[in-house]
Amino acid sequence: MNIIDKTGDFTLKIFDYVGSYCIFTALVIRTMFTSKIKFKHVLEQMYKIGTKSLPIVGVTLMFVGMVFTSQVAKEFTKLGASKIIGGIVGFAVWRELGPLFAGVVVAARVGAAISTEIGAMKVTEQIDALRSMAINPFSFLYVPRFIALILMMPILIIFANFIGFIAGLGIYVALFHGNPEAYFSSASQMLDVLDISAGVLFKGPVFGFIIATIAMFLGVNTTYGAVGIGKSATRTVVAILISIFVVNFFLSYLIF
Amino acid sequence: MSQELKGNSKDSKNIIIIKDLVKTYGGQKILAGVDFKVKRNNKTTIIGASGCGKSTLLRLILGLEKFQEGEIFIEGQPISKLDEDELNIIRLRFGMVFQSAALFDSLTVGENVGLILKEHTKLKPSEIAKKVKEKLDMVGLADTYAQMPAALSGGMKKRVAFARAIVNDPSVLLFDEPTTGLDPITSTTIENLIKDLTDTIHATSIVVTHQISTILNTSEKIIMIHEGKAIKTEGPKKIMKSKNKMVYKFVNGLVDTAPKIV
Ligand SMILES: Nc1ncnc2c1ncn2[C@@H]1O[C@H](COP(=O)(O)OP(=O)(O)OP(=O)(O)O)[C@@H](O)[C@H]1O
Ligand SMILES: [Mg+2]
Repeated sequence: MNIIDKTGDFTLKIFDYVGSYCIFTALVIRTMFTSKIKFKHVLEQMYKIGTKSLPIVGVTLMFVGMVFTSQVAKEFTKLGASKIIGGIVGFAVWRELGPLFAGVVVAARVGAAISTEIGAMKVTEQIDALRSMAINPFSFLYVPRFIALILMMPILIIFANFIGFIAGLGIYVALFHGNPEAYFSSASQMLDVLDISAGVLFKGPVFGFIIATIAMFLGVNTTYGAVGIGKSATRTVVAILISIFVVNFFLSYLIF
Repeated sequence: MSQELKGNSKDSKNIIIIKDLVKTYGGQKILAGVDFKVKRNNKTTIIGASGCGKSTLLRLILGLEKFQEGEIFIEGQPISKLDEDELNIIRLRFGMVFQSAALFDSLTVGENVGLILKEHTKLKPSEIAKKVKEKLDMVGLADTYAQMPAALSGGMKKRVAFARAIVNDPSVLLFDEPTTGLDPITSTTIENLIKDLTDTIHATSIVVTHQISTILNTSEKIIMIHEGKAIKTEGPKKIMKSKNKMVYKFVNGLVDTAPKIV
């Protein structure tokens, strides 16, 4: 095969894949509106996806808030602009760091887990077993995970933002002898409602959508046994991360 | 719908009719025109070399995969023309044991067996539990009710899968190697269960197996898949002396190796 054939083949495969992904996603959305979804299944997933991600999201944002604030505080104090440090940290955390890092953590933890779980169910015929019992895998497996991620992602981002901002305050006070009141007041002066809400209201659901659909799609398309499951998990994390970074750029560009 | 199903069946003797069935995977023909009929309340056994397409055939009957040519009629209905909802009505009357058992590993044994009742009936949890325990008892696994599938041996998983397949008293049983990997006594228990189920509740069974005792004990009709086609054989009484060379070699090969397996 020459290089042109190979490129053509590859392009076709990509289109085929993207097409199947769109069909899969459309089916998930259609099922959400046309079939009965058990609230209990959604709750279970919200617990697994959301509540259990709180610790790692918290730890991540704590260190992100700390490192960012210490760098900003060092330079801004030199410049005599220590008054606006709270506002700068607030901007960075609410607009970008909180949503993005929460997204990355959930992609790695939940995205990989969902892809592995669904992939294992696929290769061990469990999904076929469901269908053989007249149970629709879309309403039984996929939609609850989809809804749970879209609902939990904003909540995780609120939590992430809060931890990031407070960790920043901690470092500011502990290492730079900063004044907590100045930190809060500059933040409240500089940040408007859009800054505070956009990450939660727009980025949250969109990231949840991306993580759920890509993880489940790549999970369902797992072949070749246990090796395939591992491969799908890796692919899932890579695909989700790239999608989140790209989409985040455009969302930020459009919103702010 | 089930009324309609019955009304439709022109051929009331045969519950499943398979006509010129062709199934290919990536250009390779696995089934190349399979033809046979399954009589109502009859016990059919499917034999054939590993990889010849037996499991695939069962999956096609349940509509889990699409085929390329031919047709499968269930109660007179061509299943290639049915949508997922219509297939589901048929699937609820079928019980399937997958070759890999395919237990849901996030659910307990009891939940596995009871899932179909929980999803498709209005039974109370206590009523479901009672039915589940009853079926688990039939396969000698009543005490595994609260365990996770990962804690069971391969043979135990197979028996749980068996209990799961029959929990809603289906009228057609599709069993993919239900006795493979079981000790002779449990194997006989399962064979007797298959016979009992078809005799007492007038179920129809299709059993895929390599086990000679299962072939001889649970069949009225034996079909061998060879090179993508279905070969009709003489039936359990005469199959060991089959006039068809392929069939003769195959079943006698199984007997030769049987002592080694046990
Ligand atoms: N999803 C698939 N994609 C590609 N090829 C497949 C797929 N499933 C099955 N095959 C191929 O189809 C053939 C028949 O497989 P099948 O599982 O039906 O065999 P079998 O008769 O049940 O064998 P065994 O006795 O070992 O269980 C095999 O050659 C297998 O490699
Ligand atoms: Mg098989």
